[in-house]
Amino acid sequence: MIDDTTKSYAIIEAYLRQRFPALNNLKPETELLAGGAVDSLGMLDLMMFLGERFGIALEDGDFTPENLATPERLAAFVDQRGTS
Amino acid sequence: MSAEPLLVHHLLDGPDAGDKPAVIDGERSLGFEGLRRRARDHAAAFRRAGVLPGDRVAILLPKCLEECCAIFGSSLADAVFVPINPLLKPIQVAHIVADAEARIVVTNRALAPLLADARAELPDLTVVLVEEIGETDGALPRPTAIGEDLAAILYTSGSTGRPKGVMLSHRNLVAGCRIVRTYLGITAADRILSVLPFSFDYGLNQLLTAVEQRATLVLLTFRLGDDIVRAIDRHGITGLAGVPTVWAILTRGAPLLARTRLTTLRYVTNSGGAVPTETLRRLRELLPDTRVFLMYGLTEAFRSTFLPPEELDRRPNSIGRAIPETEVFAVTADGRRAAPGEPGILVHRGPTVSLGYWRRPEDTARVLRPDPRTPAERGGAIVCYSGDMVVEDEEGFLTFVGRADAMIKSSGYRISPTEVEEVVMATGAFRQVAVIGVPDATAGQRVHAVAVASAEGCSPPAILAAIADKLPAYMVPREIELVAMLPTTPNGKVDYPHLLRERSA
Repeated sequence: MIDDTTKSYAIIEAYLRQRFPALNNLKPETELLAGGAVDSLGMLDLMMFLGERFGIALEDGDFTPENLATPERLAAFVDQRGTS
Repeated sequence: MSAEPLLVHHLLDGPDAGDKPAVIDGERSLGFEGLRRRARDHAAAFRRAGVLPGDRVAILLPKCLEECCAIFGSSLADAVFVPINPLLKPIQVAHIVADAEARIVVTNRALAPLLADARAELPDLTVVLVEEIGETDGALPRPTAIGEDLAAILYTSGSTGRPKGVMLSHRNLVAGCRIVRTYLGITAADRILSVLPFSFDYGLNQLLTAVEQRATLVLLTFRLGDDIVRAIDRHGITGLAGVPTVWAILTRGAPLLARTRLTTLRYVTNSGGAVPTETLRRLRELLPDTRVFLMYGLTEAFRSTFLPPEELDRRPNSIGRAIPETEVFAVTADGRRAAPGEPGILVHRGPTVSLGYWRRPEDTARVLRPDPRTPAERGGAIVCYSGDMVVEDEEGFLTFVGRADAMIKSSGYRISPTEVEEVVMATGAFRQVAVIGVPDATAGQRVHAVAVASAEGCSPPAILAAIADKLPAYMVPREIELVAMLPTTPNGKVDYPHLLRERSA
């Protein structure tokens, strides 16, 4: 489980760094929904990325602010819901 | 009923609406009387800070009650409001404050740090914090403006250079309000959701029409599509104005929408770019009770056309016909009115044609010109040349073909390639760069940089991080593509159309 989460985290971290260059010093607990680095279009792109990469369908309905809040929460969310 | 409004603050003087909220901002709200009273407090504070008639009042605020009060307060103080999008970075804020020669900047404590560059450049700048605007009991000087006077300057980008200020008279803004509420049928029964910034003419119009009609305006700053769905449901929203990105977010990124029937939502409007066919199809499926108005406009003339919802099935790609009180037609490169089916530049004649660009007479002369069909001595008016290519059909319906210049449109924002190039070049990592807008499923166009590295070589991710410090997220290139050399035209300029064609396949 720890290995899976580490792997998911690495994939998510790489995507966030590439898509949102304004997220400098990205840490597991960096708040994604606060600040100007990730705008509403960026959140949509992130959700679409999670759908494509981890097979999480929009209809699953768990794209909640809690699950999208930080990189570590995202990683935990995809391990719980997705298939990589 | 009071007299027809002539000035922006006259919109506050509508019929008594009792205790009904005028503006709702989260858990806070203001009734119409409260809005008028607080707008007067803001006007008095601006006057005390030295604002004289005709002075520019820059407003750097998030979407909040105070921003609404500052807009009407500026009008009550005989001043000109200049709303600044709080997503901008200190350099762009400084450009607007300096270019508009603002007498004061109205902001709050949270956003005041965005004024760092403006303060360094303009040591005498007066900053008014909304937290410090108390109640006023003294009478305000009677406003002396007339409808022709400048009411607002809205900054927007073109194909080159830094943003330019589009000058709007009170008459322009009041006409835009009257025209839009007429074709959307807005009444006191409406509850309108405001998600677009007031620095954008389209977003500002929701505030003005709602207040004029005694409808309720609900302010929302959203990050997730579900935030919009929840607000519509909770407040019984009847009208929503958005740009294509908003519809992409609602149809692809709002799981709640599929499970929520939004029965109160009477209409949605789109402007700021075309909605992709697939997004429009999904949106109509998810909102079966809602009428969809596709519209077209540019800040220089506010709004030009709308497609009546009943025409949507027949002409899904059309931008519609002229708005009320307005004539819109296509003109060919040789100055003729285009024949049906023949492409031409969209030209707009009517009461929302702006007063041009603040302190830029040459740019103004390119966009605001005499009517090509009727000379001035025969009563011809000044018309607005949009720079957008359209085709008109036999029935007068227009279809957008493309831009005549290199301006990028992304997420509803107009972006000047040269403004982005300037910031990319300032990193020192490149010998040459060209910024283009490549087609994108969710943003309409996405900003893409094609660059030639300087001798030292460079790492694009590190450079993008530096650029992201200087530009708002929507202007940061999604990618910096390194090439050996940029293609040029026979006369030695960078061949932008060629770069774009290669990347649009």
